[in-house]
Amino acid sequence: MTWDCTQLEERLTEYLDSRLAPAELNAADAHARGCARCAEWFDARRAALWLQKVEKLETPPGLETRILALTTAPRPKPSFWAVPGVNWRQALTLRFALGASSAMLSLLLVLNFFGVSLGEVRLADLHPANLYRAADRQAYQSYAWGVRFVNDLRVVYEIRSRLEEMQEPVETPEAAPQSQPPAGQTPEQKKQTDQNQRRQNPSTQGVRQYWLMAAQLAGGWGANR
Amino acid sequence: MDDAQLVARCLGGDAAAWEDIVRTHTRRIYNLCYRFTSRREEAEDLTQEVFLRVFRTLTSYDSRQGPLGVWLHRVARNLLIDHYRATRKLKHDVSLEDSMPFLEEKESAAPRPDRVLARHELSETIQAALLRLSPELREAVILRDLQELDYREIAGVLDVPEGTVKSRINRGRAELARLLKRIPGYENPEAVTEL
Repeated sequence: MTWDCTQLEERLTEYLDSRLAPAELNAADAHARGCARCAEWFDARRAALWLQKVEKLETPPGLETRILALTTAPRPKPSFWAVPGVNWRQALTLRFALGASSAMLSLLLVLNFFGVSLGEVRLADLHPANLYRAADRQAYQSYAWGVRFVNDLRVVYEIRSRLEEMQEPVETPEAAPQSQPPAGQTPEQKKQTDQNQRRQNPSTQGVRQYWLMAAQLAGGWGANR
Repeated sequence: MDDAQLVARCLGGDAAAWEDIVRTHTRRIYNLCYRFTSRREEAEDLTQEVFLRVFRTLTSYDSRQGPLGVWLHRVARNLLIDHYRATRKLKHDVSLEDSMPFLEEKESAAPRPDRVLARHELSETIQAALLRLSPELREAVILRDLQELDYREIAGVLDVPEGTVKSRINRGRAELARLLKRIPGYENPEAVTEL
């Protein structure tokens, strides 16, 4: 049996599908292989045969289950939030909401106090080493802040006590001759007069001493900071 | 039970009938999606989407127009075209040359008939070659030679006359042959049994 171009073209689809009788298939092949016009069909039949050798992929595991879960009524599945014995629906009352929001507020206040801004927190900051470093730094900063506060307080008290000291000797030796009470004054009136004089007439020496002291203290205070 | 009855039971709320449909057709639809995309994860997502769409539009299935499997192919093919247009290109990491090293060989290079391709390697090679075809020829060849639909069914899926389907498949196979000719032992695929 021999085939020609017309025959092949008439039955091309059957030939390419290899649906001819074996004898016909051989004859068609023999023609197609040697014919310049039909050679591409000889190769095309091979392409179809190679395609049959392509492996079919298995269904990925879980795909059918996922499709069914997506398309049928939702089935309750145990999840991370499903804590045994806790009904979240019941927990979602007004009281629970208020409690939760105040807890969150407290947490934010505490975080804010320790200088943590939630907007600036990055994933890397949550690494244990970074957390430790941040806590360490915070502890040192807090300690330094405390030391500074106590020192400042000490300076203030020192100034005050020095002032008190200065005011004491001012009144005794120099103010004594001036403090002769006018005749006819009662002891209470005398005391009142003494106090007025002390306020209105501080000695020039006392003022100089005061400024000297203040400058000294300010220098020391500045060095502390 | 025929497809019409199965679908009727589904529409009546029979979950077992729907499960039956899903379990029967998932593998074929997944393979179809893979042939179009060349990516397993993408194919998986698209398969899910196909069944979601089928589930929503099950009322529009008419058994007089063909078996359920063909209708599923039609839905899947439409979705794949939408997907193709949305992504604008078929993304594939493996180029034809990468998966067909022998394509790089010079004409004069000695043939290597001793070389037997592993089945997986061969499948990847053919898949890469398929992606080189124009979309029109590719889908016709995939539906015929990989999904094994008959010409009438393909005409239904593609919504074109049967004659057009035949011509596209014949041309597609001839194009593919040009790309695959360097497979060792190409002329005699039936003799390759070691795969």
